Amino acid sequence: MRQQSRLTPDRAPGSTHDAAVIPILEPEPSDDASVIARSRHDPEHFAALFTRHAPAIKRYVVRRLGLEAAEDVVAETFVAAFQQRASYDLTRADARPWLYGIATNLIGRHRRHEIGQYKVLSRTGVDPVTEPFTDRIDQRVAAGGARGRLAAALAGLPTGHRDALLLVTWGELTYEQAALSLGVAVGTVRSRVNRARKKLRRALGDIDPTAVTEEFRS
Amino acid sequence: MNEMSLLNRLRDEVPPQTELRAEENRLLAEIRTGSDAPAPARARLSRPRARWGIALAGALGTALVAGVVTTAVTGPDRTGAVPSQRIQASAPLARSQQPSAAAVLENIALVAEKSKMQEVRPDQWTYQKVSQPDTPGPTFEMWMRMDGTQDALRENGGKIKMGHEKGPTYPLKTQQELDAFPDDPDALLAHLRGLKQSRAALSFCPPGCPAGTEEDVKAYGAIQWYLEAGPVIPPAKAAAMYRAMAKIPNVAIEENVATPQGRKGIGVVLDLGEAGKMYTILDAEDYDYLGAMTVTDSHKSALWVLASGVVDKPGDIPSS
Repeated sequence: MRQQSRLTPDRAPGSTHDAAVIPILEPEPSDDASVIARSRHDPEHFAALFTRHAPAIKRYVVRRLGLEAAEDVVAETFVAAFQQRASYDLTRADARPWLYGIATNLIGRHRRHEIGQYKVLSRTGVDPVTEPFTDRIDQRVAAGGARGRLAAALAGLPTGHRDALLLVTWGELTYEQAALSLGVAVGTVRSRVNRARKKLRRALGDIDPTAVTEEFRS
Repeated sequence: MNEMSLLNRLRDEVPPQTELRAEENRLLAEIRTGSDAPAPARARLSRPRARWGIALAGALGTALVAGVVTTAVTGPDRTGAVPSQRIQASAPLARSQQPSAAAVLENIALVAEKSKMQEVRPDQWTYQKVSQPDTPGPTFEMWMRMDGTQDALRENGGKIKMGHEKGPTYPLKTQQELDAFPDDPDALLAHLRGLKQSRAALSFCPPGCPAGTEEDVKAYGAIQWYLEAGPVIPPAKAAAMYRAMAKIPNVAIEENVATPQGRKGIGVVLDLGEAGKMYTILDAEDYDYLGAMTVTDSHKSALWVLASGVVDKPGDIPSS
């Protein structure tokens, strides 16, 4: 039974909803693919993609390379993405895998710098990457603590394994998305992440879990 | 805490938002000029809806009342142009050779000059259906209201999604730019080489073109872009564009370029040696614009136009 007909028995059909007879075309929030498609004609539309994704990508790149190198990498990521917009696969509504993929390639040019900073953290307990964001004097942690060990393990990972691991953790991508970013099969991402995790676990080894929690809380 | 949660907390001190002005300005410079030219410091992207520059023209209502002429408006399959008026390619070329760009483009220009007319009102919509470079790729249909106040998109025949942001580039403005083109190909070429904003249907030779070719690329790219984006191209302007193309150094003709849709095309190619080739592909029969392609050693990208025209509302497609 239609509730509406019971409530409005006296009205002529259609009289209640005249305004709705003409479909009103509401603007919808557009997905990334729509933004990119539009930007092919009207390049300025591409700016929307920057607004949407640049903050998270910047944070990701900063975590890997530090503030200074990140500025270049993020700028180049978006410029490259803009230049390649014609070849974007419009079936992918979410552009993050694509953008993180470009960023990952560019991060690769700074590999030695990235590894060097993990090593500094591991040796000295001071993280050059987070230094600008903390005014705590006591940020230095005991060398050999969990951070240091993690950093040393990250430094020792093969590049492809580190990329996969950090895309699914710091980058917050799914395994499927990370696979798109890296241009490899999902199974490859899975096995890279698993092998990388194993190495991190081994590096953390016999460390006291309570001490670890303390260290990360500080 | 396992190793994953420890890792997630490593460098967690990096804040969610950091300064992005420099990155933004680099992107803006790229969008505006197609180069890494130093960006003006104003214009912030990250403010919602911030639009930079370009006061909206007050003259919207007046435009396009006069008869505007088209070479580009044809049916959904971009057929039905004017093959009968086509001038035969100049005869005495050796069969094995590619014909000269000047001769082929002159023929195309002569056909364009005799093409039909169509009037367009500011409340009408341009329509274009494009496909991805890969086959069989998805199709995208886009409607843009001439005055730029609305646009609409449909992906793979699905639901129409409306948009309403008015950017600095919209069909009526593009049309006015086209209408203002000089009819003389040399004057047009000079105009296009001097454009502030570089345009092309596809991006080309990033991060930079070989020294000395930048202006040629800019002029070639602009012609390509106007052929693709121009709502209706006045015959005299179309003819001038093809003749101007013929005057750009290193432009050659490649015949028998097949599109993924099986159309036979003529490629008007700007060959930049190691930096790659830029293709503008015209239908071999009626010289309609079929798409653009760039090819380098390592990369190939293309954007194919399956149909285009002017219609009364989004959802309509042009009748043949």
